[in-house]
Amino acid sequence: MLKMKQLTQPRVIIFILSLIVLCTLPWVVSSFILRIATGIMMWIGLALSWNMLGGYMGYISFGHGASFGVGAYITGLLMMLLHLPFFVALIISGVITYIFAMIVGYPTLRLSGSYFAIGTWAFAEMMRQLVLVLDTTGGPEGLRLPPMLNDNFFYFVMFGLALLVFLTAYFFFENSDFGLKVKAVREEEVAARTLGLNTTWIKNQVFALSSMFAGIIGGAFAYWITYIHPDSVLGPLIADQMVIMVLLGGIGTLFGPVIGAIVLYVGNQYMLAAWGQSSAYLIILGLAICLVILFLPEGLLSLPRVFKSTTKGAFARLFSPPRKTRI
Amino acid sequence: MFKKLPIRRAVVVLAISCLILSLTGCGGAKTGADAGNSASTEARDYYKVGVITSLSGAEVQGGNITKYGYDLWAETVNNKGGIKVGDKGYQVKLVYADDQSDPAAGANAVERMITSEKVDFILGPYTSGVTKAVAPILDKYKVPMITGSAESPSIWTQKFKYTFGSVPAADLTAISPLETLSKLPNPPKTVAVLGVNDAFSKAVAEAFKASAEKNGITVVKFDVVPAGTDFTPLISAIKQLNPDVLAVGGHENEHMEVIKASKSLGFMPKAFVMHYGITNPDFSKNLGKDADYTFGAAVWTPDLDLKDDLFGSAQDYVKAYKDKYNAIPDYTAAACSATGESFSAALAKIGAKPPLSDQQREELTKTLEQIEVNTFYGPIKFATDGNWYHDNVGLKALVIQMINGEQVIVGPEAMKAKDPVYPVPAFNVR
Repeated sequence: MLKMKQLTQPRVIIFILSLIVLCTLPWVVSSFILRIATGIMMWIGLALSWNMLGGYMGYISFGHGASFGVGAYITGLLMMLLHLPFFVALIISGVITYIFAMIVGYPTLRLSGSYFAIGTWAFAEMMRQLVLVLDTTGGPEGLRLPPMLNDNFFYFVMFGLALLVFLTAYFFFENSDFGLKVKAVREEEVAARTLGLNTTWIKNQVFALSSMFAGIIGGAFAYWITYIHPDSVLGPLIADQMVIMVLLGGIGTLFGPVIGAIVLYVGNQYMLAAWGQSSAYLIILGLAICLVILFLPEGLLSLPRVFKSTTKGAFARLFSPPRKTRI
Repeated sequence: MFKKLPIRRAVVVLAISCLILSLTGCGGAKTGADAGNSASTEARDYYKVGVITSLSGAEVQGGNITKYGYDLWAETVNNKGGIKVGDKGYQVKLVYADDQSDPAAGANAVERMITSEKVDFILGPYTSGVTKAVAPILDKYKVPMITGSAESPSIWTQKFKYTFGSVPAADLTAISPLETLSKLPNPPKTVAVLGVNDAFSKAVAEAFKASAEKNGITVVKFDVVPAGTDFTPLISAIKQLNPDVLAVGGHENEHMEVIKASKSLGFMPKAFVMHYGITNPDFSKNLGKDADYTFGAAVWTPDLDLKDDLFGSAQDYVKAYKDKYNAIPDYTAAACSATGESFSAALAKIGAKPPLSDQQREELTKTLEQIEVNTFYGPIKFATDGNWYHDNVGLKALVIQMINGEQVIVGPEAMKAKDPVYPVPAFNVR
């Protein structure tokens, strides 16, 4: 149980305050900003879900977009063919992506390193081609969902989902035995197994859990955008963006993916709005990502630390007497 | 300390901070305008026109063609004193948004255009996918949009009220080549149909199949294949069936590959039938004489005898386009330029000066449904009912045949410049 003392800790107060601010957002900002905020929430959720697998467990997956797409298509099909209400369809799609990931994880999690990355990528491509040839999914025509144009509704759905993934990461990965076991798999899988950990089970659970979140978020995305296409929800860009967001923010941390998602999504949308006339903004964005990866390998989260020590160094250099040249 | 933290790190931190600062500075003015929650208006004496198309991503090539078309309209109309409403002309200012060839990014971009930029009306996307994602948002804000490019038939069956298209859907145009061939004294008896699995190409392949069956041509093979497939084994299989005609639904690259594969396998049907893509200059340039005699469908060619007050004749338009972009316009570029003329005509008719109010946008949409505009591209008349709701049904599909690298209209009967060459000469005797 939470005690009063815990509740008055500064970080808890900050957390609750920011939740309140985020809840009032729809009544303060314009619909376009709210749309961007919805997009940010979605990508925070996706980046955090990928981080469970790639960050805490160290299995770099390029196939995470497949879970997103499968969730999107299952939600869409359940709503269009069986006329189920949105939330029912969303929950079912979460369960299905979970089971689905268990089945996929069984063979692919036996691979490791780049082989796992290639395996998952190939699997995602397979899903894309499958959806393209099936008639029920609409094939290359894509799938249209019933249009529902309430911006506030989707903001709160995405916000709720992002919060759910965040809290899962906090309680299950940052502060639990399970989290330690997952990190043990990342650090030294063989040693973890010799200590008696059932690494196969752990890996399968993490893979399925993170896929389930991606699937649910995919379902919400489908209803939000109202139209999905194999290239837009099952294309390689979805997974690539998750990977880049996590690397940008700081892999294997709780706040890294959050920061990475905000910076990349806002950066993209912002530059699109400011310089949408040409596609030069993509080059700038790419360049910025390169710089961060090159010089801040631990992500933007490490920026304050690096900045602090760098400025200290610069000051020391400025104010200390000139040194003799050192070779 | 010095050893651990080289000066380059300080430079990088500085560079990143500068980048962030410059970004905040550059766009500050624009985002500052985000206030209203609806498509409200701002005081100005020009039309603010949104252009949403693929300026990056997989479809950037086609996206640029639409941009050229829209740009040329804006430039021409501004040079001639702007859109005439009453006795005054109002200039046009285009505002661009890149949909990144992705429906979700397109939806974001169009929402920004309507709520932040407060555009009066919108010139629409290159791809059908983005058009479909954008359409519900237009309905929400009641802002009219005409796409000068999207051709997928499934856009129109949903009956979105504020979305229009000036190119007839692929299933309206793709039926014409086989129909023309079937009316010849020695009509083809069999056809093999290949289609690539994307929205447009698949619709074309299905229309080829349907029109063959309707006109008494037996379909000996119908195959829809994933994009990027090697055509050699497929052509090899079709060669065994020996059809009179090979009809292909695809884009220019796939058309070129089919012709190359057929030549290398020694497969020579009495005709190749294709659709959009063979009018792309690359098709003739890359294939040389092998490109000749290929049949295709189009809704506009540069040699048509059409004219309007803005661009003059179709030939004048081609010249203006060539001077500006050093390329020959295809029907997508022409349709995009003509799209602006539909809006001009509707605005003039209702006498709506910029900026448009919500009520005037509503009137504009209603007027677009009613008017028929005759342009250098042909008549634009939007359907108000049926499966092609709000698509341009004023245009007749043309059958073209490539002869000496030029597109020649060979059908339908009333429009043709020459008789079709059928059966076509083999590759080695051209």
